[in-house]
Amino acid sequence: MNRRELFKRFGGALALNGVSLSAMSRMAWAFPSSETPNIVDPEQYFVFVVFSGAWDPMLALDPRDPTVFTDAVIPETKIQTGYDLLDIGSDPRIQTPNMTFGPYIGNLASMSDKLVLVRGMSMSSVGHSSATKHALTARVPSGDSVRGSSVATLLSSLLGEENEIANLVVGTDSYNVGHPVWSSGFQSSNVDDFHAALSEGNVSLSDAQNDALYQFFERERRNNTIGRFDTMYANRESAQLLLESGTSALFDLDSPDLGDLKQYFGVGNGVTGSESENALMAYQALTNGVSRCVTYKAAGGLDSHNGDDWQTQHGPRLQNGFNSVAALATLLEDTPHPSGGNWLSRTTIWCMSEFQRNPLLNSNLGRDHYITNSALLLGGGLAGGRVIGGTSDQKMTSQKVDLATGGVDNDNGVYISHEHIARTLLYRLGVEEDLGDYREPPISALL
Amino acid sequence: MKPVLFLLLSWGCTTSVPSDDPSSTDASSVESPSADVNEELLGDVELSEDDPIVARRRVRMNVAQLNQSMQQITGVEWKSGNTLLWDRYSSTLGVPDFAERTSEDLEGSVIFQKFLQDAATYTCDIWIENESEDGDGSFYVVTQEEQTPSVLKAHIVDLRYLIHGTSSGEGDVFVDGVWDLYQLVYQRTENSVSAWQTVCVAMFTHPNFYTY
Repeated sequence: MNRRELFKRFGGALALNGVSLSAMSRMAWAFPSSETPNIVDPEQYFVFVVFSGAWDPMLALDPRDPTVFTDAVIPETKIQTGYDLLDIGSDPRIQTPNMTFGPYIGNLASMSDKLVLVRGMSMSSVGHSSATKHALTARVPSGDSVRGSSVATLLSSLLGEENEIANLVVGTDSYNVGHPVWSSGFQSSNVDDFHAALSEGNVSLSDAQNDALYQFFERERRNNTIGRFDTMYANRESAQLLLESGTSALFDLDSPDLGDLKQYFGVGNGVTGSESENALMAYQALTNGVSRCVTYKAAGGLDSHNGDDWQTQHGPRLQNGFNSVAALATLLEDTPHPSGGNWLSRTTIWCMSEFQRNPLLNSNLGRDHYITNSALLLGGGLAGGRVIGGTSDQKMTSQKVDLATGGVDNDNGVYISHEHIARTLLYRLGVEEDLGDYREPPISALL
Repeated sequence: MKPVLFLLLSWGCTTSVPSDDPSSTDASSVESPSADVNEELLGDVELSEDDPIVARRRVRMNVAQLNQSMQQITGVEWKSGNTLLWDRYSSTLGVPDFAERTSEDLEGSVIFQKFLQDAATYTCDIWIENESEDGDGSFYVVTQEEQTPSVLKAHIVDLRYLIHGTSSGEGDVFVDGVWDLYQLVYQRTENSVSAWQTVCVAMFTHPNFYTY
């Protein structure tokens, strides 16, 4: 039995993440290890794209007609497009046969036939921290504590442990409550740090030293009586195995081997920021078999309470983020998958933000927080070109949705949120059991 | 194990009026409480062996504490060129920036373990070099054959006290494990510096160092 096999034997431990051992038995539903759910097609992949700081729906996913929502009717509608402040034309919306976007949707507009917009989602909080946890885990947190794993962690745990880094996370957080340690998000803040984590340090040990350390810590693990240390020992060994995996070259942004990809994603072109590097990393991780789930931050600094920030930074940051998604999706579509079809047909991309910005400008001509939200999905065999749900024309409040049709139905529909989308992804894997404890049905219109 | 618990309920009462003067009270004058004890068996209670032992959860040091601790012990800063690497990786290691993150991630994640190992390897390398030249670490470069096992073990005990703050007694399992580690590396490399460097890295990357 080699080190890797040995590691996998104990790496199957569940992540405690603050949960006591006794509580673990009560959480058996979370990962019934004896019965692996029946995945319809295991060759599926997920990309979670995070727009951090709360995006403005008016600028991309849920715009309004400025000729209808004029300043004169603001007292009635409580909606202010603000387009006149942006110097981008009187009606900068982008119309496609399938849907209408705000002016900063970027290159994704040309992919509207592949997109699904989910509008009028109802969030639980307008605090960044708790709402981000809700968005990532699809469960309303308990105060500031998550009540479940990230959706990416759950899906990774279902898709198997064969990949080096089942769940790769760059630029945002990840949570594991009760799922195997190997499905925990491998978190770094940027691609350079991720590459460093896969590479030898500036001083390294010899193989003899590393092997001896492995034996030492294996013995320490066997003698260990402290539950939390088990995860630490497993993670220590995992870090060492990653070093030996030789995957670091795939993410070396200084390598000439990545020159074409860097050019394609616009890395270092003076326009894009870290989102282009993150999208490149996602492509590399997926198509080289490193990861099943990738979560990356496509935009940060969207918390535009200040008017100057909202007018000059918010839109371009959104657009760069959406462009990174468009570039990733296009390249995945152009890349054949070894099991047939292309990579996009097997990869579901979910763009999210913790909540959205207020439809009314504040006194600083920026936008404050608002509890409604939107999402964008594409790929993974989703029937694109559709809009699920909607917001009202007064205050842009959430509307109830008929889950079967995706249309607004305020009489018989339900309010939708991240829980519904997460449950839908489980269904797409063929898992009908509510393994994430989302307690909401899937959006069957998406299935 | 299903121990039977007898629930003894007693009620004490007295009709005597206590004196206001404490000096007037002596043991012989105090009435015993009425021993009205119900010894009836009320039922069985199962005590599970799996019941958790209630104890404080160990906490991982934050990055600033790690940095300061390693420097305090070794006098070495983890850096590459002029770049302080704990600072360089602080965002990835979950240090709050108070713009998007306000609390520190204190999990012992894979990436934390990787950078801790890097930091420990670098720090131990420089530390042993410095100590061997200028400090009290001349034993690092003495071959195993030149020292008795008891002397070498004593060095391990000292190192453990220095790094973990833990004293070790005779037959300590941890010290025995480190001794085996030392011997294994020495046998393979025939280099005492490599062996001590490995021992040093093991101590700094052990949870006994970075959790409390």
